Amino acid sequence: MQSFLSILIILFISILMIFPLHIILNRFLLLFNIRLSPHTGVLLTILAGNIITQYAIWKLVLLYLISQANFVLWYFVYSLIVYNSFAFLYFFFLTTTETSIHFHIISQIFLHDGKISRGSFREKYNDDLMMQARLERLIDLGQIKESNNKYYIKGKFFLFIANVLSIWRKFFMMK
Amino acid sequence: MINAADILLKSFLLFGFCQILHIILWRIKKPRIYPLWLFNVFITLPLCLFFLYCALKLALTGSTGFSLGDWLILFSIFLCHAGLSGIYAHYFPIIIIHSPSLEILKIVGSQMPQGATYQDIYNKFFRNKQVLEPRFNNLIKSGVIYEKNGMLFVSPKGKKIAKLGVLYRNIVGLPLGKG
Repeated sequence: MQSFLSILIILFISILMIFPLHIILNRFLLLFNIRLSPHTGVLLTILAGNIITQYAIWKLVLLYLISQANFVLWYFVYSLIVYNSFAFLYFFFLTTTETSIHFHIISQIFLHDGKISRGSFREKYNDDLMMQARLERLIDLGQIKESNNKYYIKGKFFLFIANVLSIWRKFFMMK
Repeated sequence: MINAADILLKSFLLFGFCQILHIILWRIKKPRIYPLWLFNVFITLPLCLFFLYCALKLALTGSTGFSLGDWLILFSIFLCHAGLSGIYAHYFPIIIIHSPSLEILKIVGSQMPQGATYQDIYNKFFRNKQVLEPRFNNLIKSGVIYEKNGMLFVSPKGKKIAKLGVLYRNIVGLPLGKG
């Protein structure tokens, strides 16, 4: 029981450390003028967090249980799933402030409170701007590439998610 | 020793159960405030059922019958379930409202290997599609923004959301997102 409790404590600390780790990594990148998309920055943070967490779990707990390989394997899988589900929750929080149209509307109105109408907002944040921002982001994330004024699929991961979500929509009877 | 494989299996079963329940409830009646609904189905309901079971057992036998180790296992199951539910809750709006980025990917994917032009993507997704209007209405309905004399204002609730987002990005060192 003690070894599992230790894993939970390490996981708890690691999850709390995602935010400070992201700040450190991002400030470090800014200091050396290294330009990465916000998504790539947070994904790098999650990767670094995974390495640190799994190393700590291995060094402090699993190394002493090495004779029970079956337990070690499942402890590792459990910690990997729990850490990454919370890490991706953090990733989604960043995504919301980065890409969400809802959040963009709120923040822009907040910055121009009472000085912007629906029409002028629509003009300022038009379809072209929305599409450009998304195309740039997808190129940055390595999901599409542009060549001769045409866009091509480069990475298949997000496309896979998009297709899975399309199937999932059917369960909710959404078009 | 605690069996993590068993914990994982039970976490996935709990998550699967909530998932099926969510689909069934959604098909019966679509909720108005779905984020709250999601939280209730995935977090409040399992917790309530569990504590009801504990209360009943305590009343009937005088003990919940759980040792310290059992509580640890139950907590671990719930922790894993909560993590998975959080991810699902975040993906859910993309399921019910189209995500422009994922739609772009699907359009480009459907045009492979010849590739898609800017106009192809625009015509297939953005043209005749109200991207902003449903979101404006959604935010007004939720009381986050409001219109007065043709101008847009943020409600106190909206101010809290905007301040939190802006503060977060300032701390991390990121400029405001492009939306």
